[in-house]
Amino acid sequence: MTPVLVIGYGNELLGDDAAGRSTVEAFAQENRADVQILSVPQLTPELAESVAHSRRVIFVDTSADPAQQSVQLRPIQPATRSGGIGHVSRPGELLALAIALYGRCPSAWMMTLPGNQFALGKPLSQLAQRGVADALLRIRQLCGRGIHAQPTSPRAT
Amino acid sequence: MARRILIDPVTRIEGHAKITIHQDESGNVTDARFHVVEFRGFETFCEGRPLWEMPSITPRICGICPVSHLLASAKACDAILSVRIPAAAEQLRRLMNLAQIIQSHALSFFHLSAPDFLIGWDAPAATRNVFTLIQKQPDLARGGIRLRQFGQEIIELLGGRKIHPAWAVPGGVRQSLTEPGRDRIKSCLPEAMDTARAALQLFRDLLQSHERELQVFGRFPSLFLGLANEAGLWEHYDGFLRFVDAGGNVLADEIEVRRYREFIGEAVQTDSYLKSPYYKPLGFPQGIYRVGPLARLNVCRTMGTPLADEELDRFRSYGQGAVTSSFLYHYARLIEILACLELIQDMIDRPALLSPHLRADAGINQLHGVGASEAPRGTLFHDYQVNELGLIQKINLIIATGQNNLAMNRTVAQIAKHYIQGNSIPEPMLNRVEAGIRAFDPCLSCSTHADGTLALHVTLVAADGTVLDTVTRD
Repeated sequence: MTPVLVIGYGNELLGDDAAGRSTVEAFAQENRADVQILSVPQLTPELAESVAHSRRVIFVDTSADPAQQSVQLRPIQPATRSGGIGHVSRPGELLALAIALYGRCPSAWMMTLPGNQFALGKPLSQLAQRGVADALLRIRQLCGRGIHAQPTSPRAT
Repeated sequence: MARRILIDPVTRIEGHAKITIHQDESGNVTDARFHVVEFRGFETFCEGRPLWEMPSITPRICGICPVSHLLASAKACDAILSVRIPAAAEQLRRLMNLAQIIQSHALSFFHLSAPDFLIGWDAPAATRNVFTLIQKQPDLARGGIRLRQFGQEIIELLGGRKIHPAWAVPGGVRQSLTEPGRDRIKSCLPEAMDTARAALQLFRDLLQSHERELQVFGRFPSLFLGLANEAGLWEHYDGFLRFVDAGGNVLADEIEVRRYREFIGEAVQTDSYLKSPYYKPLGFPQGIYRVGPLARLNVCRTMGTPLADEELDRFRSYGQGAVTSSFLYHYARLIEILACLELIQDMIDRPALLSPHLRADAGINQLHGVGASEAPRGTLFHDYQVNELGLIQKINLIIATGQNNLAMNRTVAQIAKHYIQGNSIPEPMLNRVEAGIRAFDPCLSCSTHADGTLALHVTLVAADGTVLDTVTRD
């Protein structure tokens, strides 16, 4: 059982869409033995197994909401979507899949970073870079909080 | 009043897209278009980059079929280097492509499409998903997931990572299979084989009650394109191009991949970013052709493996000459999974897979190179032009989903004609139109995957542009 699983996802070629992956790849440099880190272009169903075998999971992605200017963190619950899941899964669907297939689901958080530059070949914007720095702090806090803590109080900034 | 029905975007396919269904003044469907917002600008983005970077850049186009781009890119680079890669490297590339086809087809069949025909076309959208499938057919659903994991694991064993393995390089590959890796693959094969055979049995049974879908889900004459080899065996990595027609007759054969432009034209349509390739000798749009599992099975003489060949015989009973119903893409996909597993079983003990001789070294010896391989969804072309320093001057990519663009339009139109009557847009019709597109398993990757972007919007627009109705389904 992995104490904490951190999954960053997004397309590395599309500017700020890569902010989630940049965050978790930076965090991977810290070589935490109690944390498994995955950096993937998109969420896919087989990730449900890693999710199910974790005590806590943190999904890290860029927000598509142009009004979001800072890192947002909220607890998430299993959720199914009409029409099912496809090539692209959502975090809540992976949690639901973990329950359906493996009979268990970790506590889970969704961390979204701000972004405003999603064009092909663009680097991370300054807004996203600030988000990466803040997200790293938040992830360290979450990982240091004790593996059995429940995501009861969403912390918006 | 003539009107258009917009379905935007299609759920359970990669990326974003919308469908426009045109009706005449009497409410009869006259035409349909599948509009795609794909990852545009990639070709320009690559200009000026060193050739050596291409096999690591191009797989990042897509998180679903990165191996396909990796291999087609490496092959285009091989052509520019003018090298023949070591035999071990070719076998290892083949192994990775087989794994890619398995994992991609497993996702398509078990997760995306099986809910439609196992739970029921007219079931509420809220229950027509993989979760209900898990409740109803837990062994099948779990088996499907494990089959996809099996394919992903082979890719990881070879490339060091599941996604975007920077493993195939110009001239060969970076590393061979290890003995523990080989043993791991062997240990997983029996279960994977059981899953594939069970799914095939299930689908054969389903076909008995899906005569309507067989008839209206994109059943029309077209050409088919795929890689072929001199032995007539199913081909997925190398060989030459072959076009066959709906009667199963070979129209053009033994076309070297580098000559693809002589046979494939690319039409650009104003309402879609997806190019529409066509068979040049017949012109546009008469030169409509299909690629992917259905096409590959129409192009080959045999699968070359015993169990898959048994299935191929059954499959061919659904056509006269070629099999033309797009609904049978699903069947073809399962047959290909079985063939891939048999081929892996056949090759897994070859010493070459453990060989250290993996790469041919060379410099820039040609200024133009074309690579093609069979991606899960069909033939994929990478065409590079470089200067003497090996910097990319121009690239052209022809992706499988683009080559099926015209066929997807025709499929949607055929389904809509059958199910839409009058002015209402019934949910079961939406289900079927989406399912018709999903039969091709299009990968429109490539748009941003930022949080919170998927929804289904249905819009009715009059001929004068007036929006008559809008429905959003999340």
